Amino acid sequence: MRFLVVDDSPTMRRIVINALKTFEYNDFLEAGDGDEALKQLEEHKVDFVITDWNMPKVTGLELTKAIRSNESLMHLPILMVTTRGLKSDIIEALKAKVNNYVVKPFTPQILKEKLDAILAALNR
Amino acid sequence: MQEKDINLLLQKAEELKALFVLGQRVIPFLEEIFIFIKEIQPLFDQINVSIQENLKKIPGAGEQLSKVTEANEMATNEIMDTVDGVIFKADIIEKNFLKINNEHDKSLTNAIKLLEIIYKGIEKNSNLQAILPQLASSINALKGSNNEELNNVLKNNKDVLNGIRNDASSIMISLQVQDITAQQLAAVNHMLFTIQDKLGGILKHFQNTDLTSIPGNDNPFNDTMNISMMHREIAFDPIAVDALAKDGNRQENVDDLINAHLSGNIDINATSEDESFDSNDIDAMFNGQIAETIESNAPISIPSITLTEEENEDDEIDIDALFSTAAQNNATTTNDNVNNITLDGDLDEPIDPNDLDALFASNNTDSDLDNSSNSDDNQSSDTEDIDKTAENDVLSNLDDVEDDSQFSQDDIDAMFGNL
Repeated sequence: MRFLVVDDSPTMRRIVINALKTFEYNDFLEAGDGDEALKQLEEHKVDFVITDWNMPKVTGLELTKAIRSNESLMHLPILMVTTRGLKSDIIEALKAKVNNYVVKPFTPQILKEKLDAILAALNR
Repeated sequence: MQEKDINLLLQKAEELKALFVLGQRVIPFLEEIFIFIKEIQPLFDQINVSIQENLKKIPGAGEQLSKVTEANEMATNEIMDTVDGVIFKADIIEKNFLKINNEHDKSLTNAIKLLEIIYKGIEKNSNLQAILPQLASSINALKGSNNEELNNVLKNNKDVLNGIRNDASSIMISLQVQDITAQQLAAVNHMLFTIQDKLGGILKHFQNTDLTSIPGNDNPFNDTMNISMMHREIAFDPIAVDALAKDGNRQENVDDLINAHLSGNIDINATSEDESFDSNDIDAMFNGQIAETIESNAPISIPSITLTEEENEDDEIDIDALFSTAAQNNATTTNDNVNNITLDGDLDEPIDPNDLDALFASNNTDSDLDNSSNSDDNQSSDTEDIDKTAENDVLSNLDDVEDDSQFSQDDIDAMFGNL
């Protein structure tokens, strides 16, 4: 499974990738903001998107909306990983149709749990 | 009446006349001073208000920076504790390797002994039947050579290595503080930009007026002066560092809300200030943790930086309108007071005593003229009036701001009443 990890912080991208590696996922693409992510999605096939919210140029929320409005990408599973934890943020993310939501700081176990939940829901 | 008295009266009249003539000569200068004050007063008011508002932000910025330092300290200590644990586990593994080595040596010794027995027996061409007991003993020694202990040591090593992997994972988790604090610092940096922008605007206004150039200033302010630049563009959540508060419920609250949505218990599209949710649903979702969640995300001060970067522009527009309103109000008051002091007629003519009285009476009663005399008490009372006006306006503006961190539990219940 190929993951696209989107975060403006290189440190966070590395942390997410390291967490996924502990669960034996090995295929990753990276992007520093939503704009770069959309370019990656145009050029490569991706199976799962993990994105931050607060990013320059194109935010994670805008990226989600762009993916959902693109016919060829609209079914991509999207996991939002962000510091934003207000109720209004979560509702906004749900309206944009993210599949699940993780607040920072997170443990690898929580990341895996949300990942598995999304994959299980998709496989039903 | 004697001649002496009349002369005295005349002398006094002459003195009075001289005084009036002096007054007439002074009046143009006074008029210029009043005009100068009239022109400069709004600028000073703007400066006062702007500095006051910007000063209010600085303690908030200081507090944010303090939280960043605290978060970094906490994460560093966590990492150091974990590293201590890793070192301890490395010592255990080293000891286990020594045990394994010892067991290996014993096994090797027994095997060598066995082979030596066989070798000697064949060399001497002796009857090997006689040495069978010795052989059996050596073989038994090899077979039962503490395999159980060796297995335990190997298992212990495996467990310790898993522990080290978990420790590495913990360090990774702690290092997430870098992203969180970077966002917080970006928020403070943004505030510095805003303050620099406002104060820079005032300085440029000074430089562009005929009133004054700042004495001794060889480096006038210009747009190239950029005091705060981060190493890369960072989009930020202004309250990011609150995520590091020891509240283990944040993810649970998120999960509850998402699960409620997935199971159809809430309609997210109905979530607006005109819609209401069942307060029982909210309580069930969050188990009474809404208040704590909101309080932990509450803004630090007013005006605060709890608004996101996207909303900041709107907030700045409101503040600018507020300041220009406050400055205009005060300028209007100043204008009125100065305009009340009208000087009619030819200034070379003797001044009408009534006009003179009006002039000096206004000086004694008008607060703006008191300001011109730099009376500290009057200045501070005017500043307080501006502050109160500004504060009331800010508070009334904030009533319209959609920021759920400021809602009390009752506000939320009223807002999210019934599905």
